Amino acid sequence: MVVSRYALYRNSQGQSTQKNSVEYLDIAILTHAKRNEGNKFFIANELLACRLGEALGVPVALGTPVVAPVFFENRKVAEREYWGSLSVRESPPPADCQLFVQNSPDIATGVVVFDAWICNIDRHELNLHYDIMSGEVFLFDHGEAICNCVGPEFLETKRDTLGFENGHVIAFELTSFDFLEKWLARLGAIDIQFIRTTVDILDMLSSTEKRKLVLELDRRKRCLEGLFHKSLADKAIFASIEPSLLNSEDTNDPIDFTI
Amino acid sequence: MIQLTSQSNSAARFFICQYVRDPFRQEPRNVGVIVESPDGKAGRFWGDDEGGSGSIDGRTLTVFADPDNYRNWVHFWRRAIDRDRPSLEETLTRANRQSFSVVNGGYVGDIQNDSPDQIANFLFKLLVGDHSFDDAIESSIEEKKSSGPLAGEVSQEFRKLGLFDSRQFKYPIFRDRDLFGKTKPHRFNFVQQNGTACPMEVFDFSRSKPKAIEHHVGWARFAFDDLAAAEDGKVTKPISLISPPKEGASGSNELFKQSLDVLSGASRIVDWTKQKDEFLRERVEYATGTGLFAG
Repeated sequence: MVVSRYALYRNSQGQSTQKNSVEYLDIAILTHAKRNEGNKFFIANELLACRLGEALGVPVALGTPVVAPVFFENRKVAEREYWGSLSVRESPPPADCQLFVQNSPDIATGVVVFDAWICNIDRHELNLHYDIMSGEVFLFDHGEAICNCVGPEFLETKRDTLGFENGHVIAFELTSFDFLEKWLARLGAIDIQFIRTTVDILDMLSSTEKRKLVLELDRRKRCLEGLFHKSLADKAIFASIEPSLLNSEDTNDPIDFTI
Repeated sequence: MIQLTSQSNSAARFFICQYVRDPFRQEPRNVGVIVESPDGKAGRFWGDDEGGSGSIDGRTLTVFADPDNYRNWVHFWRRAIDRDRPSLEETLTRANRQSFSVVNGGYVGDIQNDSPDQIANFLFKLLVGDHSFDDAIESSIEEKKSSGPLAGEVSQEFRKLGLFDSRQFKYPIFRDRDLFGKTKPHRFNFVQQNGTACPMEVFDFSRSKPKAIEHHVGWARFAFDDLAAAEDGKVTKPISLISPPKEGASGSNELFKQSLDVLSGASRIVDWTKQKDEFLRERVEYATGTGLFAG
């Protein structure tokens, strides 16, 4: 209730920021909320990323859909749905990704594996929080991952890549692949039944979309090791890896993409 | 003297870091300044020390709803300053959020040879700290004292003789001690009190920049006169300890003569290079209350 009333105030004052049809809304102490007018899969992507990240063991910020009324001349005219990141108390600064990777290479590798799985093409220093004092880290803003704004077909178009063509701030800073095997094993332990149950809660998707999404996520999960092997030597993605750390025999191995 | 201006050739650009504790009230509070001058970049933030060690005093962070988040923002701003990116402004403002943001402050003109750190300290006192404009101006003058390395040498000689030790001498010397003038307190390099207070100010003409000497001499004359007006003769005549300019230094002789004229009107001039031993002997006598200074 408090959230809604505050959202109302912010809307009526017209002070929320808007950029490329993405509206940002800071809601008092409770949460940092965001909505994306141009992406009907936005909430589904956020919700799913939150649950999948939790299953994998990466620190995704807790979140929930938030509904806020829209008022015009003191009358409620509509409702808007936002994604509220509950872990974000005050807006955090852009993260020091280099320091994060240096201090927590294990978790950092997990973030890279997670983003590759959900095909997050939008990981940058502004949607990752790293506390320099406590070492606490959490990820947020996954509205462009999984379905992007096109639906489960998005994962289909990205079958052959990690999805890091536009760069990935953590992959860029990784200096070793010491923990990659561990995270891929963790990922492998997530079975299709869990994915199916999780996707089932997304009321905003049709049953066809849900079915397709489950298959694509499961497929991608099993292909990921091969995709990583294909990309390990790509300096545009893994720029900080010492060439000597790359085993040329491994990277030249033929990759089995069959499921 | 630093002056705020719209823009000039010898200008430094500055940005103001702001914090909004309550997004409902929308009351930004200045929490830091970032300076970009031709000599480099510097920042000064709420809770950090003037020396620029980068550490933040956690006791001062009660103004923030989430002090750790503030530390993270300071870390980010410092990283932006240290990074060699073409546009500091873009790096800073791109990260603006509801709680923390950076706004363009404008330009500081007439920066002369001031370092980015000095400018940042000046602006911090003006825009962020709980100091008035007068305090900022005054402290900038004191920061510009031309005492230079000579003050260190004098201090070393005093220490050798144990003149700072109150157990050894009845009337020891104090460093950087404030004395109240008629209008305000003034901080002198050294003060020795034997019934009456004797302020000592050091002027290093051989190693200081002319502008700094001008400021320092002007400030000292005002402080000496203000002190005399307040105490009505209860202050021993102040001492101006000087080291003359190096021979052949162009333009410095004239400044030296003018400065002596100004200082001698309100203080006794002691040439450290020629009268050092005599001066030190006198200080010891003053400290023990013997010789000329016997009670």
